[in-house]
Amino acid sequence: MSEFIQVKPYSSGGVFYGGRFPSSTAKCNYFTITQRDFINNAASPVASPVLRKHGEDLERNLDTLRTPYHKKEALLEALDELDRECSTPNWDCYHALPLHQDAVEQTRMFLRVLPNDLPLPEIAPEPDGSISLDWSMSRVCSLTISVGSSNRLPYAWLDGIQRGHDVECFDGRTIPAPLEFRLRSLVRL
Amino acid sequence: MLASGLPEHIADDEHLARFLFQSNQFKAAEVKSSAFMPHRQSQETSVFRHGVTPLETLWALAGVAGAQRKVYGAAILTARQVRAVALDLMADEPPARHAAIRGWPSVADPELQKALQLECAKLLAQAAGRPFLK
Repeated sequence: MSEFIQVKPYSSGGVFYGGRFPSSTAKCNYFTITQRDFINNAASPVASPVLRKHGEDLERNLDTLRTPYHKKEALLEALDELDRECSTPNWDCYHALPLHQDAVEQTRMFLRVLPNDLPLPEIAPEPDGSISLDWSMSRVCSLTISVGSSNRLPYAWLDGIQRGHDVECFDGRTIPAPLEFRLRSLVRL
Repeated sequence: MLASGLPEHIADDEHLARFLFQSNQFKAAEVKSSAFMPHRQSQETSVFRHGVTPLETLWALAGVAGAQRKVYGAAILTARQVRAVALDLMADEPPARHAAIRGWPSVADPELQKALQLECAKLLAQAAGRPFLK
């Protein structure tokens, strides 16, 4: 049986398990193999059914960890692309201002500290150079945060027949609690 | 009567088109609120007094609005839906059929003003529903 198994997702998309387990000669063998090899039992060190069981459990647990990680990276790349697309005035043909670099940086920080169990937003440029973060659960249930150059974040939500708006301060380290509460209540988490 | 032949007053049942020139401001099922947010200086949102049909005229107006840049589609809603959000509508020609959504909330605190406007823009986007894509 293994003494430990470490799991680490990599930005390249691969997930590796590493660990060590005692061999028949009482020496410790170290291994680092791909997740697929682990599950498929293709690598000789993990032929043990116990390790195979570990792998299946980890596979399930990883689904909750790995997916947001990679989606968040993809969203941050999309933010860079949006920044490039909207870096010149009039990007919307209605005389919009270019995206404000402070807004781009603050959006990046916000997305990085967004808890992984929350769904990721969609991003959209605003005519004043701010960036909208949109969570749309349905046509009648949605929340939008406007990230500009200020650390005060205006946001508004629709929830059936209820709706509202507010402003919260963002310190760059954690999502403002009232905003997170509103978001969780909308996504029913 | 305006040069376009339309009356100065925009009737409640008239259709209005907000052309979409940026691909992140909509998806197949909905238009995002950012597409309706007002211009920072003028505090207006530009629209054209036209519905889905006839299509040729709709896209010709998009060509005027966007100086022949690529248009992805249009968010269509009625004047009544705009007024239901407590916003005003004014004919604003030229160009022909152009109008402006005015009366966006205005308060001293810029972030609070933005939050109020965001709520209005979300209601407009909800009213528009699915965009009409080119």
